[in-house]
Amino acid sequence: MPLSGLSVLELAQGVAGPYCGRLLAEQGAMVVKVEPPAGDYARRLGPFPPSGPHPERSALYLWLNAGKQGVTLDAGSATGRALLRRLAAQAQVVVARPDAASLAALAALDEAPLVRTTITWFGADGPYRDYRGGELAALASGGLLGLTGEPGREPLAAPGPQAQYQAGLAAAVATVAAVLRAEATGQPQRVEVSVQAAVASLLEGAILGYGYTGRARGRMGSRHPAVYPSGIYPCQDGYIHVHAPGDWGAFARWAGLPERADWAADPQAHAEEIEPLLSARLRGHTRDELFRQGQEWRFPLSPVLSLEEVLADPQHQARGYFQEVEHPAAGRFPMPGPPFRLEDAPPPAPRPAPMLGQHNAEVYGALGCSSADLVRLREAGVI
Amino acid sequence: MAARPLDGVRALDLGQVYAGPFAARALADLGAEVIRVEWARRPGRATGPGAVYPQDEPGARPYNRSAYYNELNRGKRAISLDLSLERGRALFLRLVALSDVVVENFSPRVMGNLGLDYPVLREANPGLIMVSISAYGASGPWRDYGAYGPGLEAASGLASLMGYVGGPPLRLGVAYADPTAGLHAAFAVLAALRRRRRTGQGAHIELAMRESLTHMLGELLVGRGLGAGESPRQGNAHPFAAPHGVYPCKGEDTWVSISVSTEEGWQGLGRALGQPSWAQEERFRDALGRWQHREELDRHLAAWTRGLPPQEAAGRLQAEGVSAAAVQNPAEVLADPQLAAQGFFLAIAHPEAGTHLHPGVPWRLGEGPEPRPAPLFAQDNGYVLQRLLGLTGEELRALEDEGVIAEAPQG
Repeated sequence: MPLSGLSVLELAQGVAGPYCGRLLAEQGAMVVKVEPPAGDYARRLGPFPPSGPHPERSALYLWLNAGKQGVTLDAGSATGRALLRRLAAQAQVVVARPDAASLAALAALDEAPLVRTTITWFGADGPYRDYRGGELAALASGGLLGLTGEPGREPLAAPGPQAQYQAGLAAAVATVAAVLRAEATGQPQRVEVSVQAAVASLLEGAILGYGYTGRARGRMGSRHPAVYPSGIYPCQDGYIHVHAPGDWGAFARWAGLPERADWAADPQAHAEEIEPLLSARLRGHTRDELFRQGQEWRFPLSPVLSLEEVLADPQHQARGYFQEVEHPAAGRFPMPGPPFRLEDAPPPAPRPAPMLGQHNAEVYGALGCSSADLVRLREAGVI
Repeated sequence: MAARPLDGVRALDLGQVYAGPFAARALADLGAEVIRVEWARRPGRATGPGAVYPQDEPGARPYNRSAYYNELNRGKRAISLDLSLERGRALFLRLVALSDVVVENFSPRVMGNLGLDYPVLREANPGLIMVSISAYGASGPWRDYGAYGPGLEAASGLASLMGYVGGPPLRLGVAYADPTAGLHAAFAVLAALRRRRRTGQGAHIELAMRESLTHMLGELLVGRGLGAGESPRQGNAHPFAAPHGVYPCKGEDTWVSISVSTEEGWQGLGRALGQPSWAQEERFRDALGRWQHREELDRHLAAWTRGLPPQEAAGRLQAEGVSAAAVQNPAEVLADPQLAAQGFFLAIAHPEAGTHLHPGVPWRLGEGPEPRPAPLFAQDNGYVLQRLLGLTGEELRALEDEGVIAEAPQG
């Protein structure tokens, strides 16, 4: 595994920090996740199985923390901070939520970790540094919310905490880069990631486009600012995404639409005439027909799939994308695979997320704590 | 001492459109020397219908002025080299031998057809790290199926979940799968570089854009697999928190996001609004009641937000500890004081497109990206072919006569 031998201490809850830690773990890093005794708050967020909310059955927690070791620790207590210092002293990378207790413990280290990564909603300084963050606030201030949804209606958020995922991904990129630099120079490195900036960095040309023209792009529903036709259309048994940059003539022949020269010259300019014809054509076919026939003609149509369909998808199955994992409290369930593969190293079987405090004995034992110490720490509420 | 993490790393960027160029740009931002390899016959410089140019003027060389291209390729070099000609292919392999990374996102068959798949490149450079990005992956029944980023929002399951109540599926207002795949690819390259430093081993990274996007929906798929229901298209409603959404403000198409998920937040909201009587009503007393009566709650809130500009509404709510933000359009993002204070934007002077602010990177690490413009077409033919590969000026002219390299795109 590319990151084998890299030791990571994760002092983070929720989504962004844990997603960073998960990406590192998936590539072979040894990640120890520190949770407060009450558990990462993601354990209280869903989705949950039909049996209802349970801290060991949160899909969000089970997904974001798969493959990590889990320990509990109260960073608010002096004993907890002492323990945290000893944990941090053994890690090359610390991914931290910048809460006061964690930062105090880190600041008290004799030697800074090789790499320290922190993720904040708006950044560690600047006029909004103390603003209350949140998924919607990050999408709104970063510019993605305003571009998403139908014109004339309210802006629309994406499913899942996408802003926080993007921040976690950016943090993983910068963290490994920082490891490379720290190992090459012997100098400790600090990485700071802002969730707002993570959103603002993926606006697909909208920032420079505004700088070039003075016109700010707006919401376009499922359509595309530069390509026509492009969008989600109803068909006989669901929805199909059509995206046809390039040759109108070939697309018109495939779709059975007029090959008019004026339409070919600028299809977008004739969208009002084309839309009803195209919609009617697509409604006459099933999603699967359109997908396969379109692809045979080299038009990149895509089916709009539900989660259930994604889980049963033949392409995912052929590639072994979902692999079953067994968790002591949640049972067996399919786990999505890594976002990429190394050809010479097939993805290993997925490992489940830790139960609360599952690795306390192992991890604190390796620090020299005896079982009697562990009992005392537990009774004092430190772990 | 190296100033940036990837100083001394050279990457060849065969990326098309968005995902590949975005991955290579991240490497350039981290200090790598990134050389784009472009075809005169198929330059891929985003100059088709819908292209955006400075002052809406394509100019004499539109291929040097496209916003889409110039944003995604800042900080890189570019050469023109026709890889479909044997001489071009041979020169590319010599360049591969001098490089560390190759990024490509053609359809899976293209590199093989060019005689440039991983086994061939590895022979030229055993330590090479190659990233191949495709829509659905290099294996399986859909391996030859194409898709651009927007279509993968559909095929990943994302679009089916997203939309207004009772409305059709929708996608995000940007091609979301592309930068996501690009960053996953950059992460893969960095991890492989670390392994290579320790073991000397190269790597072929295979990235299916749909799988990369699906990774961002992990909890929804795990939940579904555990038997949780699918709840498609709920607008901005949250599964248990209220109020949660965007609210209209004073002015045309202006909105503020408000999200309350704690009792503390609810108390803050009451203070920010001046303790209105409706907020004291019994049905809004606890979180469950607020969620059950969220539509009435939304109407009350909208009546308040409509009287205020979005920044003012967000500021008053934030002053009381409520998560809120103005919904910003690209012009407002560009003027955002917080992003400016973070040093997010890069002022970049481009010789044919002028000086403009570009979005930078969301991380702060060492010196940060060098603010260099996107390359002009064929700008670095001399540097790469003469200085790196040792060709003479005469040989360059011969290559131009044979159509292997070119000073300008054809057609």
